[in-house]
Amino acid sequence: MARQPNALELNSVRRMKAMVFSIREWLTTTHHKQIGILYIATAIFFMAVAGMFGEMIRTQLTVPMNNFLTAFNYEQTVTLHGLLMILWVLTPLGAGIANYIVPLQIGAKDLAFPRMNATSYWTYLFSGIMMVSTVFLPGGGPNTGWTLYAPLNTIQFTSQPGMTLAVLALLLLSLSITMSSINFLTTIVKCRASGVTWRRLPLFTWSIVFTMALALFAFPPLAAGLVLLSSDRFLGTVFFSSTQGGGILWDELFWFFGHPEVYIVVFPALGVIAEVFQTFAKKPLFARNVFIVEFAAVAFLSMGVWMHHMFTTGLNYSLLQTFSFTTLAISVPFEGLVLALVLTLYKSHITLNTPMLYCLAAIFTVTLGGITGVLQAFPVLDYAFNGTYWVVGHFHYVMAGTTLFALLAGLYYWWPMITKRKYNEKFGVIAFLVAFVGFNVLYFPYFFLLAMPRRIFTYTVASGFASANLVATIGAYIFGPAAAVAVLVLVLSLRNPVLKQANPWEAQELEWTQNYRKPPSSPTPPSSTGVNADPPDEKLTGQWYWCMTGSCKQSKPRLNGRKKLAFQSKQGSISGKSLMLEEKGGE
Amino acid sequence: MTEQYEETEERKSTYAPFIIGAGLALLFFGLVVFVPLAIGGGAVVAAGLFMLFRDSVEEKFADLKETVGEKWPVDFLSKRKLGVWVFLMSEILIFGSLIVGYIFVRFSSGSWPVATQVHNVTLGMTNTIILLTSSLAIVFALVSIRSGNTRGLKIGLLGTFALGAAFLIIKLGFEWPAYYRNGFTISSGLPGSTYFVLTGLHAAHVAGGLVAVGYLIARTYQGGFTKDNHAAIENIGLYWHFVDIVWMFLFPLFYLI
Amino acid sequence: MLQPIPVSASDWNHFFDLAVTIALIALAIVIGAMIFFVVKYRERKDQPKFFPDFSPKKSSARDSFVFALISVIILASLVAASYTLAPNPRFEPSDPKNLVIDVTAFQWAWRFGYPNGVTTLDNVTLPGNTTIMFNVTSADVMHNFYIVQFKVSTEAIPGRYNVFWITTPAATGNEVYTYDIYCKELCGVGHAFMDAVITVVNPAAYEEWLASQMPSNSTASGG
Repeated sequence: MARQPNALELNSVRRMKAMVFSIREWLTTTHHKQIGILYIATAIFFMAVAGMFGEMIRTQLTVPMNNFLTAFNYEQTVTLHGLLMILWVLTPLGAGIANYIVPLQIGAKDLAFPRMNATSYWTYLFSGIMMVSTVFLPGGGPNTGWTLYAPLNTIQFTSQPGMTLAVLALLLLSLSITMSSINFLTTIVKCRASGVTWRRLPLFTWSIVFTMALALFAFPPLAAGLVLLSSDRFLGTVFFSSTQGGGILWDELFWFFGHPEVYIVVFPALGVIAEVFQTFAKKPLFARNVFIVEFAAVAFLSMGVWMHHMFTTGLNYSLLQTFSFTTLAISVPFEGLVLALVLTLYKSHITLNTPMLYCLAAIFTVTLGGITGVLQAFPVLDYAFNGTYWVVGHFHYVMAGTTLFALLAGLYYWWPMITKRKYNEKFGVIAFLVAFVGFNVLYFPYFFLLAMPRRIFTYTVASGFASANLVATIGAYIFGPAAAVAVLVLVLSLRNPVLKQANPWEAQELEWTQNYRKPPSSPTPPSSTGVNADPPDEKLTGQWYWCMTGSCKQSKPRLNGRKKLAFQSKQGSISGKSLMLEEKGGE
Repeated sequence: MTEQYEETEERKSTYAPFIIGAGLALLFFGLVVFVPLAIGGGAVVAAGLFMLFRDSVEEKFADLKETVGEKWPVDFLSKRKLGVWVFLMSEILIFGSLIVGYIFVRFSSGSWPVATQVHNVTLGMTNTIILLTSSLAIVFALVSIRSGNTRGLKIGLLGTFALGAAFLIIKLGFEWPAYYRNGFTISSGLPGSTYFVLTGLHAAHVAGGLVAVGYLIARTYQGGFTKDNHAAIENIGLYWHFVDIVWMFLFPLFYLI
Repeated sequence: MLQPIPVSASDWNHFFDLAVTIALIALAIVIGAMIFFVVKYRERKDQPKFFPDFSPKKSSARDSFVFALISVIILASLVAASYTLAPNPRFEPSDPKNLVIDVTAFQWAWRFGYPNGVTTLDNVTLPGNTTIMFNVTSADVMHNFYIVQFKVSTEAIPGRYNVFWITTPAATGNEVYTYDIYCKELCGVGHAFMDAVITVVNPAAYEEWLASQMPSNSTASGG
């Protein structure tokens, strides 16, 4: 990079520096890009905190009868690890990426209600601070597990004020997410640019549509349960007491929220995988329209499976069996989504870079995690799985695996657009490989701990759990730091020079090209495509996206006089007119 | 792609979201740890809401004209009105969950007091009529401003406010103290718990609605609403009708059966 | 630990093995295909740069429908298999003679009640080759009564009585088999140590043991 940066870039760098250091600008912003960055940065901060809690959990469980943490402290750690990771890390990380990307994908200037967007962010941040602060209150923080089961959650059994504060922090977060869902749904329905019809809506935006629709319907029941619990803890009501109210009411309200919540967590990840595959496999998604329909089916069905968390409660068996059937039913469209993603790679041109690798890993973890979930759909099997480390292994594969890997892929993929910098590819791949190995060493042993109950702070030598736990802890000590390094690779890229071309991937999706205009009715076909083709005409940039979504008028591809599509030919060798445009950083 | 470097769009900034977020956190934190802090938090939230009110008066955030883009299938709804409807859907879910919870609890418990013996059906019916009339008042306000009648608008809004306030005064000033004197309290058992929590949450929503109607009245007296620009009346009216409809469910569920 | 595996566990294992085998085959196919595609279609450095073509693709809805149909068939078969291979311990067995044990969970131990009023704490002696009905409840918070080697469990919920049946394996002569009970639902700080033991002995030895418990129970209150 010998040439001097021009005035435009200097201005941009200066503005970027000014942006970072202007606290006032960040406190008062209502712009979706800045709020998206705030969400992502805050989610990563909470991930560090909750990740530390995870490492503490694994440390305590390394050897039998360990005393690194007392039972009470261990239970607080487990509770906060779960609550923070699910509600203050994974959900907001997806929402943050959505904040940045969705308006760009639909051609909107901002979200529908920018000030409400900012309010969503600040309530999220402050609710997270409240949640973490509970451990510092006298009596400590919540120690009931993230599921906060009744009657354990009442004042009678968990009297510390930290528990009450945690309940209120959750209420505040529910408010934040409800505001976000109203915002995103209104934006996507009303603020699309001309040309961005529903059929042409990018797949990540589709995933956010379903995420936010589920959030709209899932969080109010949680808020209802939290209102009842708050009233129990503040006003002496008896909704969840063991003598009058009882545990089943909380079970129903919580899991009616809890199940859609895990789909809220995983949907943005699936959207990211779809986008990354399309860009780095240079191919439209397999069966795109069916993909969207299957997505809708999963979203709709996810509101009807919640009692599969309650198979052991002893409720009417026919009722529970119905939920077993709906749970098995939801696995069909879900598997369809995964298959569509995998089949996109068929006859494609794959670039194996960091985002692509993370997405491939995410497909692996969602298949393995999904399988272990389907096995739990059978009540008889679930009598042994429920409450043991099998379940813990299952949900870490889909949440810490698929969601985290896919959202990291999203960060890597959109990093050049957000920061106009390119991260170091080599270190990105190395961090990925170490993280992936560490992840599997950490969580795969859990499937052999079928007899080990969840949330026990220690175990005996006689139980036989020691060897699997030791292996898992080693995995944790590899996975945690590797994940931190993966984030560090991104952060350190900010030192790199500004890219001249903000689209180093030559991605054709709408957020990169911002070509929302309806394509002309009869677009000019390119002079040639496929291997050995000319580079795309500037005018046609972005047109690939329109054609992919079925909006081109070309009915029969006629390329160079041949009926067969150029890229399907076997030309693989270098011929005279080869165009070796390597990616020089910023060229 | 160089146009991406140009951040030429005007960025609108305000402290209000930060203040409201901080205020809510202080409010909740104070409720657990130190009650005066909660009062302070409430004041901070009020300050934030006032900032929003001031911005709305100065039309600082008056939106860029809604760009003509893709609108199907809700061409007929404005962005704000669609937002209100989506918000109401989440409210339906929260009240719905609580109502279903109440039904679950009531039918799985052995005995439940007879409604007429515990509740003052006369006051309840009075309140029902008051709330229905207040919905009528806000519709009157809307119809007035649609034909440019500012006086009718004022009468309607003031009527809505007065009737809503009357609802709360009768409930909190007369009805509930009588229950407490009779021993029917929030902690006297499940019947009391369910009644007070559900109707209490509803009353909180009525109070919130009064704040919103108060905002409308303040803006009306500043001349903010005209024949062509009165969307807020309709949007807040929608919320008011929703609050009324929730009461239509709560009243029979508690007072009549 | 040469203990007999209870019938419920062997049934569970058979169904589990079947389901896991099918699942692992599915995993192998999907991930195998993915890895195969990645290896075969990855861009190599010596290849010239590829630009995608602009033509719309033909509809692949039919393929998706076929895959969905295959999944439905596999899942439906598994459901059918579950009815035969893995009977549900919540369904009352045909054996009319069964022993009813009341189980009360509390923070942080298990109290077992026998039909004649004998109660024990954290251990329950049972006769072999008998159908046992457990009637489980809790005195305070939710617990989960998990008989590890039998692969059955149920929640102990205050105010509810949850019922399930097991059949103990046969024990003859001096054989004594022990099985573990864990609490699988977080119930407070004592959750990790809320274990109990099932001891299975031959029916005669069981009667003897039960008789020996009686006098001490009539004098002491609450075992």
